[in-house]
Amino acid sequence: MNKAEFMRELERLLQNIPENERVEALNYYEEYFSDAGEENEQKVLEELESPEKVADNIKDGLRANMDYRDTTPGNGQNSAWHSGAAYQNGTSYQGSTIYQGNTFYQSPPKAAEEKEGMPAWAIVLIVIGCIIFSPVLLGVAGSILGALAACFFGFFGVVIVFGAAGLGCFVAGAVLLVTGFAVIFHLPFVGMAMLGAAFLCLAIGMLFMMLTVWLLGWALPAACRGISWLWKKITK
Amino acid sequence: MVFNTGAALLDAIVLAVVSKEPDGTYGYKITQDVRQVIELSESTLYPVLRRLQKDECMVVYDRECAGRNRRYYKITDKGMSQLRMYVNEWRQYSGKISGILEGGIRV
Repeated sequence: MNKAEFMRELERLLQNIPENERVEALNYYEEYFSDAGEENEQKVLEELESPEKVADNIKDGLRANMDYRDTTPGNGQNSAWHSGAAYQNGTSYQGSTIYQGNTFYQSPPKAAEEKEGMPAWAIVLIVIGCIIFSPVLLGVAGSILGALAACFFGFFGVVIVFGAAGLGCFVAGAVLLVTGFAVIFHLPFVGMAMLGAAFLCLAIGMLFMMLTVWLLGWALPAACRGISWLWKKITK
Repeated sequence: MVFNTGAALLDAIVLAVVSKEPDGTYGYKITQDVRQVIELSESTLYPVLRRLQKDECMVVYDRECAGRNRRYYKITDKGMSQLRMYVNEWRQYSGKISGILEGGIRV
């Protein structure tokens, strides 16, 4: 077999690959023969072994590349490239010791592909969607924020009212206590009634204060925990 | 050679060979250079060059040479960073292997 026969046979064997790939490969080997020089033609032919082997190598290379392209996100399945099968299933590599499946190899190109992330059209769609729905999204987000703020300040309102009620009772109790002691000597019954009312006020005030402290110390953290739990449920 | 050259190592060798030439180099020369260090069937290199080109680790351009076109392969920035990664990995890997092999014999 000479160079011309080799090239003709190779072209015939590459009929079933895309034309640009065929032209590339044929140009490469045409050039390869030229660069080796006419005097080395037989040596190169021996090294290349056969058009079949060269064609198989080219096709396996293409297949590996296709499989690799298929692993772009959205395809959903890990294809041959990922498992290394693309390099192992080829017939042509069996003869040579050069290509053995190599698990290490898969990581760098995969990482590069992942960097690109979603296809461009998906990003464009998301951006357009964001722009179109922004009034709605803002409205919804505003409502949620408003509701949360209402709950928050409503809660504090209750706490403040309870605290104020407690404080009021304390003040009333204190005033009644002082006045009661003042009048008890010349109006004993009025004084005693006042002192009784004073202790009642102080007791109620104490209750309100305990309620306030409980709300702040237990119910608020509990509410926070509840909200964060709810948030996790929503975002999960 | 009793040890196999895996796909990653072959990529690394090809990138290293191509990176040595700032103006790029061509298929036949790459093959000869690679064959100086590892046994390699001549038909193995073309798919590697094609893939590295598709992965944008190399770019090709044609240059007139002795009355005909010759295709030159030149390393890209992406190819350089890939090569640096390979060199790093190789340093770690070969260091560990050398450590255990030579440590076992105690020369």
